[in-house]
Amino acid sequence: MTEPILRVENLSLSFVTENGTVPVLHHLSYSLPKGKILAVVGESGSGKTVQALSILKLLAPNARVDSGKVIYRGKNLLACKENTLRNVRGSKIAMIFQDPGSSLNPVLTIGEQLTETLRAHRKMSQEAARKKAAQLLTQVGITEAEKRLTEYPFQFSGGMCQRVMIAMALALDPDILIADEPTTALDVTIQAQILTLIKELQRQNGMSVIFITHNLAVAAQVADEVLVLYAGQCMELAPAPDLFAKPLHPYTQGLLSSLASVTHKAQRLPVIAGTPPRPGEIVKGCPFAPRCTQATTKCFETCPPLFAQKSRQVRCYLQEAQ
Amino acid sequence: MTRYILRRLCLLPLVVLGVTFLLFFLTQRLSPEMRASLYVKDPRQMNALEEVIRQYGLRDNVFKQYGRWLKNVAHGDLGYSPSANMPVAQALKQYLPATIQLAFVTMILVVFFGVWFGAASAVHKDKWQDIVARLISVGGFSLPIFVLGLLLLMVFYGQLHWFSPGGYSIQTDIIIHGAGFKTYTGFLLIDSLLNGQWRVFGDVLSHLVLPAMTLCIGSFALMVRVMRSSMLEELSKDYVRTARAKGLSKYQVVYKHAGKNAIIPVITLAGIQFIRLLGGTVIVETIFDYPGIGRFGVLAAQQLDIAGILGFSFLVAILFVAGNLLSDILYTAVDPRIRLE
Amino acid sequence: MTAALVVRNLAKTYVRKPWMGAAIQKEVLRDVNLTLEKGKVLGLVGESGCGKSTLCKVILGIEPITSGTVEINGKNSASFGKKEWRALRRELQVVYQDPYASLDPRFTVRQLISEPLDIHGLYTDKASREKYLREVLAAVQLDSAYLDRFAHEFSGGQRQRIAIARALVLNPSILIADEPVSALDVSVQAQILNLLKDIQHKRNLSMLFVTHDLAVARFLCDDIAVMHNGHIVEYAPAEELFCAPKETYTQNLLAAVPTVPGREA
Repeated sequence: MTEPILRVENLSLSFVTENGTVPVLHHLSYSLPKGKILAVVGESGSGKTVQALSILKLLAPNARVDSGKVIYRGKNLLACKENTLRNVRGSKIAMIFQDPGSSLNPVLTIGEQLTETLRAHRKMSQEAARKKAAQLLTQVGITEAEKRLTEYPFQFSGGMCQRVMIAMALALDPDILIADEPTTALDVTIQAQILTLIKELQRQNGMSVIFITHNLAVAAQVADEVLVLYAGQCMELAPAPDLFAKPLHPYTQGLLSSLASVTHKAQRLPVIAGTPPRPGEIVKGCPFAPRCTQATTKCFETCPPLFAQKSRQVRCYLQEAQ
Repeated sequence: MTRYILRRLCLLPLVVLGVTFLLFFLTQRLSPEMRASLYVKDPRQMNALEEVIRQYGLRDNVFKQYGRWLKNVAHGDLGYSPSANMPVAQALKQYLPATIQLAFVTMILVVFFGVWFGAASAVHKDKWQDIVARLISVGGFSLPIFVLGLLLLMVFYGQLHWFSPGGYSIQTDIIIHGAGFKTYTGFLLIDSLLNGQWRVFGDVLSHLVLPAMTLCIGSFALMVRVMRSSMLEELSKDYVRTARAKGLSKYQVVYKHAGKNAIIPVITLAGIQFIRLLGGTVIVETIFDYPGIGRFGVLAAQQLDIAGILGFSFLVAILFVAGNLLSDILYTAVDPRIRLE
Repeated sequence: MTAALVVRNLAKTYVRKPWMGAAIQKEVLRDVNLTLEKGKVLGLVGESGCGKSTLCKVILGIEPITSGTVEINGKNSASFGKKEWRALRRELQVVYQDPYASLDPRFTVRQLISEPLDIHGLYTDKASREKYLREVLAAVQLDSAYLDRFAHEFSGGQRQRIAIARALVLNPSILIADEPVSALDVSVQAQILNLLKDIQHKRNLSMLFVTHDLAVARFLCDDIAVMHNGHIVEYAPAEELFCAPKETYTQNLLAAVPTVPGREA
């Protein structure tokens, strides 16, 4: 096992709202192995995006870190000053987002947005930056790079915008790429292309990737490891092949079996009953217990800890015995 | 884009015709005798009214009279203004530069401070900067222009004797009407500098300060609000998060990224406000006895100087359309989505 | 037997006529032919911008037809006046993608599903209205205790159930479902898909199911029409299309769908 490049330790977060404090993450811990892709899978409100934003302290002003550390190269990023963080953002840890169209500034040219990233972190002449920017566009598969540098985001399709975002993120050879639902807003064919591109570039540059998605099938395409979040808690963390071959947590099992398939026609889809808890809803015991078919009284009383099992961890009493 | 501008220029005559015809139509409510009496200077000629009516065709159908007025306008003849004691065209030419000068100085104040306060207010939301900016903005909205004007007059003129209302000093008048003073632009602020007359420049500027301050307050309050809400909206957008994630400095994130988008609605507003100022200096010019077209318009209205009123509204209508066009062009200069579509 | 819905040679062109200069034409649908048989589910599959939403609007009479015909229960919709369209609402209902946008949050469930009844003057006496509303809620598996709660109190999945209840309340014979699960949480999608399948089966509904998700289409549809650039590129019974796609576009589309390894056997 290689030394992890990033460690999230015991991270708890909440939002301070008019109606009181709403916890969104509970004691989340994981480590990102060097040169691997970790997929964080969860539904809306599971805290998957919030945990990613907290790594770079890009959270909304009303977010509050209750406990925990994010350790990168021996430093706790959560305790860093804004200036130190700025040197990490974009250069060591880069990020791409869900909606590529709105994630680019509509009134600045693509060239301007690319070169300013370069120049923010490296002493570089405008010309050199421009040359490098054109190179980057070519690298992510955009033709006529020179010409496209002078264009604006609205002249690009969604898939092309995401390529630009990726080029921008890769500009400074970061150690880590955080991709927050990078293909959710795209069509399937474009999604396949972007996934391939991310994987390819990850392999070339030896980057580590945190890939956030709600779609298990997409996670299966890219991930080396998968972390399943539910109601702000880690439910299951396992190497991807193990998790997809034999999911241990009832939630993961339910999610996987409820997926409709293109390759065969199901008469009925197995379902997870009920709905995810709403943010701020007080849950006693395991947050999944109300929807779980195998829940026992114990599950409703105290939340199970994470049970470690070889290379995987599961938050479920069913795994306690083994 | 050019087609767009052309299309807007086609609109210009429509608006001008509409406004002037409406006013023309309203003046028809006065009896021909009353209107004729405006042409008569000497009370002894009052018995010759019928002849004046006939001579000027004041009993003709309103369209015919309007057509005649238009024909004269086309020849550059806007009629004679008894209130200003000179032809209307000459009066407008003489008074307009002073008003443009006033509106321009005001607009510089409004845009500069409005954008600054509005942006600071949004960036430091709910901090003291925001509270101060919002208080000033609310104050600016609720303070009537004539109250503020009179207050400023009382303090700076009555108590402190810093600035003076009324016409320029006698020395200034002598210099600018003297043989050595060349008129380059018609704007005294610029011409005095070009002539190297520092004292004239100082005098003109000191006459501008109080009216400009009074005039700017309403637009300033609006500008702060628009800039603040526009900036707040932009700051919450995805691309701002991207800019932060790229490791840009706070200054770059706020001013280069959010600012450039936030300023777009401000530009339109500034254009409209500028025009509003040009036609809306009436109260301020009257309070400070400032020699601009607003004061000319008021005097014309008070003395029922129909030619003067028509000329004034004719000019304001043209300015209105031209100003809107100008702000639209500025708008496209900032927003590539419109420029390139 | 007449089909529930027949679309013949349908074309739709948007024309933007600027104040000056030549008109700008944009062809969004061309030569579309579809038949929705009674009691069947027809899937309309395509990527964003392919024209599937426009087709729905044209069928619903929200957008005028450029050329071609739409026949609903054997009647040409071009001949419909205001009155016929209104009557048609009892036959043809829609469920939209976003249950947050399509339900007014300040309405109670009762108000939301009573509204169509009020408009058409059905179940006017109080007792029968109450009984019927409870029946409809039961059909979408919602507790009748929810009747007096407000729409904003519900989660996405529950709202979509309410939206389906509202569509069913007039007992229509045709249902258009426009991406009804794509805005929902993954763990809730399967519930709604099963519900739609059950309801379709029980009521023998004819359903036009619009989606970008091929897996969902396979689960629910009898026939599939694949749309691309405003044109139907492939139109076949579902099993045939999924097992042996003929067109390259369909093949690419199918190949691009991400799958979980090991589960696909």
